[in-house]
Amino acid sequence: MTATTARFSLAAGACALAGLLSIPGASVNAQQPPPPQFLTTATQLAAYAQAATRDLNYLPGEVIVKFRVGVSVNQQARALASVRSRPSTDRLQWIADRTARLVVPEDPDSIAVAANLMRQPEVEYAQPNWLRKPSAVPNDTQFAARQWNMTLLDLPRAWDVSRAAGAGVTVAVIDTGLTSVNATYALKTWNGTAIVTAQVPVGINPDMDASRIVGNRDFVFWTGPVVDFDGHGTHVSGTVAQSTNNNLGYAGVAYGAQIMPLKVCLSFWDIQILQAEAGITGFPPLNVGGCPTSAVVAAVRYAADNGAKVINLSLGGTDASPADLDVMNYALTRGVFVAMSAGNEFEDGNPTTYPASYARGVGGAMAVGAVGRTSVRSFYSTTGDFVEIAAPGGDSREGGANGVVYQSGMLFSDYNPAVVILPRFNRYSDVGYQGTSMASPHVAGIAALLMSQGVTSPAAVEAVIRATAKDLGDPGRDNLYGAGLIQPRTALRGLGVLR
Amino acid sequence: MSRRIGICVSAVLLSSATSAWAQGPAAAPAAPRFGLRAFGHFEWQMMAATDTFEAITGKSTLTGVGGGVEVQRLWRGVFARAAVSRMSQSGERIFVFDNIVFPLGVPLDITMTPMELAAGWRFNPIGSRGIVGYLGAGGMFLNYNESSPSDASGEEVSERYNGFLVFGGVEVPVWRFVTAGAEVGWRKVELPDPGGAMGALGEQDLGGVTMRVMVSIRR
Repeated sequence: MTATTARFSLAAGACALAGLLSIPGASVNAQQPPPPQFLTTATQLAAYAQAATRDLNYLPGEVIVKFRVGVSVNQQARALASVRSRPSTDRLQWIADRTARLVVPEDPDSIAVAANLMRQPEVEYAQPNWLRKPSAVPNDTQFAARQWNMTLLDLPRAWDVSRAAGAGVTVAVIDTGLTSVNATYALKTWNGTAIVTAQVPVGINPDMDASRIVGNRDFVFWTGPVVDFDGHGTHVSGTVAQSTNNNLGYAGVAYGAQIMPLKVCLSFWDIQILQAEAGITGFPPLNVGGCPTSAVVAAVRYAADNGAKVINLSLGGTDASPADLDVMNYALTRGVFVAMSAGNEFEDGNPTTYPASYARGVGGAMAVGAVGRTSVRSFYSTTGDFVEIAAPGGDSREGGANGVVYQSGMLFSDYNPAVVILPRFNRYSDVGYQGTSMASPHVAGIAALLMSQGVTSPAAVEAVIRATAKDLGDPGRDNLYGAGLIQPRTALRGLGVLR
Repeated sequence: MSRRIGICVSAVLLSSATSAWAQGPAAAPAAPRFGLRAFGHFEWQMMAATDTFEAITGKSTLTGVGGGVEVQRLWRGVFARAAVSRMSQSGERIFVFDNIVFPLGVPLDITMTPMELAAGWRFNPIGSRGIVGYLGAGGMFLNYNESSPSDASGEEVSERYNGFLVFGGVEVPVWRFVTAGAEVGWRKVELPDPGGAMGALGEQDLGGVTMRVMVSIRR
């Protein structure tokens, strides 16, 4: 995927500071939890750095391989022998049924390794460990004109119908994370001249009721609680389920739902800290990081196996990934609805986005395109026959700073990697993003509302959302908007005898 | 339901028969040119849109009350009737996918008000109890309303449809000018392109089979 990262620069100044929501006492009451184990090795960190510097959309030296049914360990070894470095089966890290992540740093050309493996009779498929990117594009924040998206969707009246607001439904947000602990961690980082240990405060968003954060798990950074060092996952989670009617900050679509933050993406500060912890000096590139397929697959399975009924995937890339399709089908068979961002590459050749394009023709998974304040397709929103529905994602060209989607997010000036040496992640403010990343959680939120109301089949959820959408663009389904703009109230009201 | 209806009808017929028997034979008075009759009734309608109403209300029958007037002996046994009923039922809104119904927990109140204009033929009394049979047919308007407590302005449904009906029944004298009767009918209220659950479930008819228990006063 041509990388458009989720990084945003906050407008430093009075507007942002006016909206500052700090966590009183977070540092005072700082706990020193036992040090968690980091999940990414120095070798893998080198792969991330290499991917960033060479602008690769995969992790060099890593592939995902799925063996055919009945293939024995000896047969797996025979298949692996086709790789130039002849890795042993010990290199296989199992992430799903018959599916493993193969780490072969000696063979950095993952595309060639995958191609070799694909030719082996024991192998069902093999692919590079694609590095997905969160599907948001940069913009500034301002305090004014927030949450036009909720008004556009008439959500206040939708909540009149669905007063439970998603209660009892768990939405897994597979992303950069949502901080689920108030703590200060002693973490190593590079200060420009040396590796130092910094006290890094992290805090739960005060506009996200902590009791609704469940089952958090980190698949890429460490074994500790999920911490968002980027902000994208926090924003996406906010759109799904920001606390509402609490006289604070912003509203979320399904504010009664539970959020399961599953961290699968590493961003600058993750890599910076991991590098320093591994004794690697220097700053990584600002664009370093991504969301490896191996982690996405593991997270989707975890979500489906641990009670999530809705998954939001605001990430994507331009390379096909059978592993993504496999795990999406797994989730669907477990009764989980999947919302995915359709991509932000309209002006970059408008390529097909994965895994979103797998939603085409699959009941229960939807690829979501973005619109701005006037319900017109956002300038960046990828189009194609896989786009199934549209939701507010923001459009700064149309609405300027007021045209993006605002939620309560971490104060970017506290951790802006371009200027900050010792970051903090415990202060929250008004943060505007735009992208199909922002559109997708609107659909995930509505899915949670519908599930809460009794529409328990993912395919039925998709059918409701499609059937009640407001047609935009060409009459009927089209490649820009899919079935049209989501209509939460209409969807939640369902059908009477005649209407 | 049908068993209960049967019991009611039997009870009415039995009591009326007993009363008629007690009156004994009487000399027939000179028949006036026209007769006027007013009636009230309890009504059950087994909806033709069975799937729709079962999905939304949990039952396919609506109950109601009503009344009307008849002008009799327009020509021999010919009579004309105007009648109105009001039936209501509560349920909840639904979504239908792949023939599976998902109740949404959003309350829905349904009211139907059929208004009939009909004509028919009343046969001569049978036997000493004075049992009279009749048949009729006519047209009808159906006022249909559905609403939910969370409805905003314009979201409630209030429509009028046209249809037709046929019916037949029996009545027996009960006491002086009072008769009791039971009637079975069939209504057809075809909707060309219904939305909502009827559309989703492929049903098009707001009519159905009706059963009435009636009490009339004539002069």
